[in-house]
Amino acid sequence: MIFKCRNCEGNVIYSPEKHAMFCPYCESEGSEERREYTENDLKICPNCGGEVPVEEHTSATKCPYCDNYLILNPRVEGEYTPALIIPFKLGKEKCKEILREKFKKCVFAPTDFLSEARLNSMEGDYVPFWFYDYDANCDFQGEGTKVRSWRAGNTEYTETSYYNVVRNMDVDFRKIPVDASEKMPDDVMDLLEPYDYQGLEPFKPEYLSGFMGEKYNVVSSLVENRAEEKMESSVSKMMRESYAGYLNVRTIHSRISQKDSAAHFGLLPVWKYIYTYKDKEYPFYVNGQTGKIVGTAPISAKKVWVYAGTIWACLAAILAMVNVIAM
Amino acid sequence: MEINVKKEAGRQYLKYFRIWFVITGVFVVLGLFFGVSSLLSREDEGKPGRQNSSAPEERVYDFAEVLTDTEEQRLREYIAQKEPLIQADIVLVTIKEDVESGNYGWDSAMMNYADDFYDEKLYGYDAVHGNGVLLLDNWYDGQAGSWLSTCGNVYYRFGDYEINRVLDAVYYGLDDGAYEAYMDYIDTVYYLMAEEGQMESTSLSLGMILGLPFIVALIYALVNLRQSKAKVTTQANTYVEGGRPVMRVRRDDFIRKHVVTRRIETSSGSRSGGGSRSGGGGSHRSSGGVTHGGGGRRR
Repeated sequence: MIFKCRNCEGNVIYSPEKHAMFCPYCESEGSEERREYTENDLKICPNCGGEVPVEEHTSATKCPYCDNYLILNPRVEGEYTPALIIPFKLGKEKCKEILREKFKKCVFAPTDFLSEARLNSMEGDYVPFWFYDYDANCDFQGEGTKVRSWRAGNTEYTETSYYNVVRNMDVDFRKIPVDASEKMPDDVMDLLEPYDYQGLEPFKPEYLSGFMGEKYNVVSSLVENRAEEKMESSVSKMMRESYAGYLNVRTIHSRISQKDSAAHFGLLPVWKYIYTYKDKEYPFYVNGQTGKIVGTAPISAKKVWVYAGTIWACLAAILAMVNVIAM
Repeated sequence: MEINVKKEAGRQYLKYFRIWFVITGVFVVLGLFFGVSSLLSREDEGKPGRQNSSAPEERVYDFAEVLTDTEEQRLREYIAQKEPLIQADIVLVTIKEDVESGNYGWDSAMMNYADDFYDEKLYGYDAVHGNGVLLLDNWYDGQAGSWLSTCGNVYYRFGDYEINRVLDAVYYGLDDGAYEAYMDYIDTVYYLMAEEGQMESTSLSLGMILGLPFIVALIYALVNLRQSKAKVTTQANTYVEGGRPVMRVRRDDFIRKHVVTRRIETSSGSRSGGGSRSGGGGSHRSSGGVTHGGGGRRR
């Protein structure tokens, strides 16, 4: 499908700034008209006839010739229909601003790292995620130690008390996110968290217009272990917090069990900026809702030498002059 | 494109270092100004000759007879060379006397002896009781030691640090003999009074001028090279419904306890440590009413 403008036939896209469908050609809002095409895989652009690069999991893409955003119906429908979506809240311009702010102090980054031309290559991606709900229970028993000491005269007393520490708690997790995209690095996706779930909305294909997107690459059972790890790690941490008053606790028994679980498929917004420097790619990911950035800037060795050398030369000159003045 | 990037790199560089360049420029201008003025004033400045004709020619009084005639003569010649350069008299007196037999302790007796000797002989390069330094070296058994008396420009120049350096030079020089020790006395006084010595405390060595900025530049580079991908901003309860777990059972049953006692050892007193003794004369007036500085130590 493509969203076309009723007024000018331009490609209507979702505007994060306006929280509405917007035609960048005639600047009208809410003028979108959904056009369906019989050619479901959309490898040929229905707008210009150009060849569109569609990969195995692509659900939304852009025609490289006419820049129209195309949505592949079979990959957003049926089993691939996302139950949830957080639409982009930050537009490209805001995202550029955030990147510039974050890396403006990175003096050794290559000169054109934050240039307008380079940043314009940034793309908004809807990354597929599995969201897991768990009703978990943790049963714990341990031996806790408390120590207190005091002085009376010239004698010091140290009293060690032992306690039987018993805890049983229910923890209900909602929507632990695990990315279902093979090309997105798991550690990076974890670092982009948390998303504000207040922004979750029922899926509408309109949100995809203007962005790239994927259907889930893997079924939920294949990545559930990551969600379980996150869940168990959180439960253990909360359990430790519950007996934080003890100097030391020796675990006698600890068991985390799931009473109930469920998985939902959804899409989360991520801005991706790939900067290529000396034949190496430096990817930057920005949470499309909160603006959190994950990525490190490349370092220009030439800049390091020149800048540090200048500092050295200036300070040496200043000290030499101070020496002359003091004489 | 490439040219634009280079231009932008140059613009960024100049913008980033503009304050640095301004500050460095100011220092360079000031440095050049002071440097040139200093050179010009030094060229104009000639050192005046000796102004005091009341004092004797003699500078070396070897009452203890620890020097040969040749050594004494060499010392006199060496002193004659150095005195005009530092605009101060350099006097050496060796004695072998029981200075503690009177009412004074060793420090006071040596100090009075040295100051009075200087005053009575009317020493002073620029005037009577003017610029000069006198080393009194006592070789009496059990009371051996040196006292340095300073006056005039030497008094103003020498603090405890300089006095100790001269006394150290004499003390360690004695390992090679009396003559060597007294040559070291003259050398050290000259070094500390001459410009190189005076510059020592205020000027920076080439190593410091190049080394300190290198350390700063290195720290600057390391600090700016440090980057972290991102911080983990999720908490244990981020995805927990209601933000907290529901505690079904929470029991803390006391089982047992045990107590360990330890007797605390208290110290009965404090001990004070010893150390090498070095007497300081500080600023004082001699019996003749002349202000002297100085200090000394036993061997």
